[in-house]
Amino acid sequence: MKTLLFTTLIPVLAVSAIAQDEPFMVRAALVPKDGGRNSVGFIINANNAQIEYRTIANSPTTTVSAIKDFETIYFLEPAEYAVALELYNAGKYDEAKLKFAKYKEQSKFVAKIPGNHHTLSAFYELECMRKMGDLKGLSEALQGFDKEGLTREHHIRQMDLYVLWDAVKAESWDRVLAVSTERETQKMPDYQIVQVLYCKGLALQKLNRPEEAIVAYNAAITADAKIPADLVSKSALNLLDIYIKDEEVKTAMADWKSEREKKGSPGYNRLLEAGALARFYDKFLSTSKALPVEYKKLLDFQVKEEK
Amino acid sequence: MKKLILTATLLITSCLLPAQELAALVDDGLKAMNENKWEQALALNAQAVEKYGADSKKALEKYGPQFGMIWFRKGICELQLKKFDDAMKSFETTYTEFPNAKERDGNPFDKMSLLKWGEAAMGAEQYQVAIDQWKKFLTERTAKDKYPQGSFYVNIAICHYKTGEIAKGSEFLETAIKNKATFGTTNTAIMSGFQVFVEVALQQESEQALIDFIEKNRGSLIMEPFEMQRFAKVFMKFAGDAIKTEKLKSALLLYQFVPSTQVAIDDLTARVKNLGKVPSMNDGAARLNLAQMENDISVLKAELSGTKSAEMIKLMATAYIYESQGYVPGAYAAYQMLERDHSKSEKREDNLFHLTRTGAILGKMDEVQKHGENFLKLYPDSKFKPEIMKLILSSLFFNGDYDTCIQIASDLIRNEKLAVNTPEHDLALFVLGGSYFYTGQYDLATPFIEQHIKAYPKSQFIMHSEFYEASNTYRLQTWKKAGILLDAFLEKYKDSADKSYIPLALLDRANIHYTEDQSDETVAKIDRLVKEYGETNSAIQALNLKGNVHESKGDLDEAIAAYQLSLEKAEATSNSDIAGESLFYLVALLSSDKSDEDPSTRFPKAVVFADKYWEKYATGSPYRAQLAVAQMPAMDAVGRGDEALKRLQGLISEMAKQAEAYGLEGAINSYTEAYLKKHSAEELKEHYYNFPDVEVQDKVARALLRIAVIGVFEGIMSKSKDEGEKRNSKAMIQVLFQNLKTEFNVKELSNFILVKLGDYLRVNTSAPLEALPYYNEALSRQDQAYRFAALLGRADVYGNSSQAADLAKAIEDFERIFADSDDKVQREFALYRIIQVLMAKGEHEEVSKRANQYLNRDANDGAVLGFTKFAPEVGYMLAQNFEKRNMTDDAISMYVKVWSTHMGNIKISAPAIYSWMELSWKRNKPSTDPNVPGDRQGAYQGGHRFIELTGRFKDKLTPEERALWEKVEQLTAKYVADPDVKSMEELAKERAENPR
Repeated sequence: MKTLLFTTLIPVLAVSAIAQDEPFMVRAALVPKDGGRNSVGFIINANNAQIEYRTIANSPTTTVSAIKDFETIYFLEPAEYAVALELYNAGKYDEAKLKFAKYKEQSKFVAKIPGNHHTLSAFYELECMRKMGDLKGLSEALQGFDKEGLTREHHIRQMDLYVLWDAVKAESWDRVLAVSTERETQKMPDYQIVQVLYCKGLALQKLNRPEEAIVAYNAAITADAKIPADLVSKSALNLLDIYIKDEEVKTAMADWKSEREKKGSPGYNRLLEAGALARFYDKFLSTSKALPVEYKKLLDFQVKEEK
Repeated sequence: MKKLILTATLLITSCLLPAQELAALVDDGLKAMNENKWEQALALNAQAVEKYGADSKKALEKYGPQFGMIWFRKGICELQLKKFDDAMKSFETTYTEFPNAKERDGNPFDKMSLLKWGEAAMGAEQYQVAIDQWKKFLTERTAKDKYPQGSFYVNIAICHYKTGEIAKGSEFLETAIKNKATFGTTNTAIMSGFQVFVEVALQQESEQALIDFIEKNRGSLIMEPFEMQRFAKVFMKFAGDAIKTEKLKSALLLYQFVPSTQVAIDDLTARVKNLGKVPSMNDGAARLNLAQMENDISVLKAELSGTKSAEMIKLMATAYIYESQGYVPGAYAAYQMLERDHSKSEKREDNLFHLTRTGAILGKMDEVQKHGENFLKLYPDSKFKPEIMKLILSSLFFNGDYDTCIQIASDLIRNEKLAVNTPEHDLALFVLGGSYFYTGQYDLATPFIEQHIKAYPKSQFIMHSEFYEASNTYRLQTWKKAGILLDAFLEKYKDSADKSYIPLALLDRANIHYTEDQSDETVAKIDRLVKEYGETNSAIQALNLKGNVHESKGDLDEAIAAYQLSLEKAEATSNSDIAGESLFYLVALLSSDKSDEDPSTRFPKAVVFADKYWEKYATGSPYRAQLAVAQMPAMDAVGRGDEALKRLQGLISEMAKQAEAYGLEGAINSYTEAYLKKHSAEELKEHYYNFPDVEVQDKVARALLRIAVIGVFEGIMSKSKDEGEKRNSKAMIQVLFQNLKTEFNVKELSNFILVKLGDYLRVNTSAPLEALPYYNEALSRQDQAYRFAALLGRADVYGNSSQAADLAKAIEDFERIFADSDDKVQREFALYRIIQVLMAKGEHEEVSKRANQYLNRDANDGAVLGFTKFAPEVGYMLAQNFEKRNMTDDAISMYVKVWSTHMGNIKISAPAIYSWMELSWKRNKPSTDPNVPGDRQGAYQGGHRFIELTGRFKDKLTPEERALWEKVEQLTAKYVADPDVKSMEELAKERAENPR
């Protein structure tokens, strides 16, 4: 491999390298095309054509190489990113978001090179905002997000789903319904189908179509078969909200065990469903958010035969 | 380890120069170890220790602690070859026999042997030994004793888990996880430890410890999908095991360690692309291996498009978990998703079955039918087939989709697709009978309901079927039998927990009592219904029936109170049908002339009720036509007659479009009556032939309108004194009837028109057999209207036949009418015709029995029917019957009763007296009383008296009657010609000569 020493060819890279005493480095496995030795490089600067890197982390010497001269530039998982991802996986989205944002900023010089963790951090920063319900932040962050660096199909598809969340943010419920209805039959991973179904349920609920909303939310709570699953929990709570506002359910609650009780009536049956769901939530989904007090009264509505 | 061994080699070879052979063994052994030739290495090391170190003390003395290295290497070989017990022994020997001492060292592995001893013990599943050695190692090791901390902490965690020390194990595992970066703990090592934890926790009922650990460490435990997917199957298995033991929360928590297959494929694909041609590399705690990753992609893609992907299994588990927790909608949604997105699943048969089953639980009938039928098409031989059929049928049935039930159950039963004496056959038979019942096809329902009750007396549906049988019989108007069945039902289920049918049975029974003029019993049933089941629709409806009872008894205030109470309760419970019915009764009563109340107050009340009806309850009400008719007088009285007539006209037009327009006939008749007040019959005819909005295809309405016109001309014909007008009317009637017969297909005519046409053909033409198709058509329908009129017409036609089979049919129909018709006129005619037919059949004893039944006036001799219309004919037949049976005295007695009682009825009295005269003449019984003539004299005197009394009508007799009368006259003349008979003149002369 030919080392590029002509600094005039890469003025931007040179300036940035000089400007910092100890530059931020991104580790990558470098495999040259010319059969040269595989190595780990510490990239301190890059654009879409070249990288400037050290072969030894604390060496003052840098090498600038054309990206096209490498067979492989494989970004090794940065410790900062690993920590952020661990926080994300632990459901600590606010902390994770800060870490992702920081790494995203520090490593932005590798943004144009495929497989980099800058783009992944930016992606997960968006996901943190979505999971925290910061749809305004998500919408703003999306303006500056360059999806070209995404290399995983489901990440690219998530960009499409943000359109749905943008509609939720705008409370354009007809639009949410239209988009979610179109998407719900498409094949996608569980964490994405649950988004589509949750949004559909939400739109129907807001459009005052509770029976259809129940169908959508029920699909949502089964789409992502694991706990914790944020949208499964939210869907379950929204279901409980629909049930508890149902006039026939209210009547069935008032008539429970009285002479007026109508076993087998729609309201009675829905009350039993609500009771079962409340208990399900309490038992399995309440880790991150306890069953709200307004739904606790549903816990008692069950028939003796019920397990 | 490799580095350590090489260092040791230098030591050994340099220090054992005198023992060349030992040195050679050690060198060769080491060489084999470096080449991974473990069997060979073990043999060489074993030979070294056996030959030169069999006595450890001597070896220690001779070679120093460094001899322990040979034992250590031997242990390494044994560890590699999984000879864990031997390895433990070798490491133990290294540690115990060749320890370093201050004054004498040289064994670099004297402490490391503790570490390896523990590893060997772990391999030998002696977990406590392993823990002990490792603890000792941690205590005794020096800075030079480097060891892989990550795997060490994972291993010690595993051993603690294995010995049941879950908390301690988790402590070590968390240490490995927390110090992942420092220790260099690989993800694979962490997962190995975690898997053992999960396995042990699930086995040892330590679910909470597992849940706590996962919730605390999940951020670290979840790896990137490309790596996590390698453990997916294990976690799927653990989750499955957790579900089996009802550790459902653990199962759901474990599923988070199973990445979405597509996400894993995407991650692997992205990384493989980034790796290029790099065959393998380490990336932090992960190990990247290109070939393995490419293989993983192939495997995952195959799984995703295969029959048992993780997604399918997770959805099935979700469905199970939701249902087990009582939330069936969740389970149903999961099965829906399985069917929609994973129809390739090897478990599709199960999934589709459960989808149908849970759909049925949720009452999603359309879905149950759709999925159930799809199931039967896909899996015709499935073990679930009977259950699916049951689900489809029972769900459809109990949700009221009776037409579909008939389709399915009819196919199953009629085509004998189900084995008898099975639960499936039981259900299908029950559903078929019940569905026919609920769709008003009572005739069709009967055999299936009866078959079900007979074949499955212990069926779970027996109560339903027994009610259907009783109620179905009631609806077939077989009152007596229905009454018996309903009484039996009410008795059998009086203590049943399920009383859902009791109010319905009580209402049916009350209706039967009412039909049979048993008003006290009717009211008793209604009162019970209201008292015990006051809030049911049956009880509210029964109040209207109570009103009917009061109305029929003339207790109009009570009737109105009952109707108003029914209206009030119906409105309170939003029961529009019953409210409409109550209003109809109120309007009909107040608008009629039954009430004594002054029309000036009564009619306005009726109009208020009528207005309420039209405003709130008319839509879909079956009483529209009847109420439109009933309100006419009241509306007329309050000056809204034109409005009422217009409504009636509109209703007729509207009902003309309906296939079964109950009340249309009554509406037309009322309209006719009102119309004729201002128009002529001819104008009516023109109006009815061009009735507004009644079109050519509205055949029922058109036929009814023509029948109405016929009725008008029949009235003119019977009432007019103008012979010309009578002739014209008769001609018009004939033309209209002929038109009806040729213009309308029987299938298009209502029962009323069919009967009307049949009656016309039967009575007024010389071809009464032509009437049969009309009667038969009416009788073939589920519509029960005019059933007895049709039966009567048909029986009458058959009764006039000479064929024995026809006579038998006639008897059957007449008996049905006599038993069950609520029309006394019909019942009387039926019994009369039964006697006639029995006469024709020569069944004399039966004739006698039935004729006496007809004529009985003494309650001590049986029921008094109160029949009088055909008494002369019946008496005459009874007399004839006695005569044929040679019961001469009885015959004479009966004949005299007939002719003397009904003398004016020449058709009967003439032949009766004729037969009486002949029989008396033949018997020739002499007189025993001077005041009573002998038979022959009496015969003459009777004939003479008859001629004398009826002679004045002679000119008015029909030719037939006149012929009969003249026969009597001739016989009287014949008898008087006998010398032994004294003429009336002679007798008068005797009386004059010998007055008493």
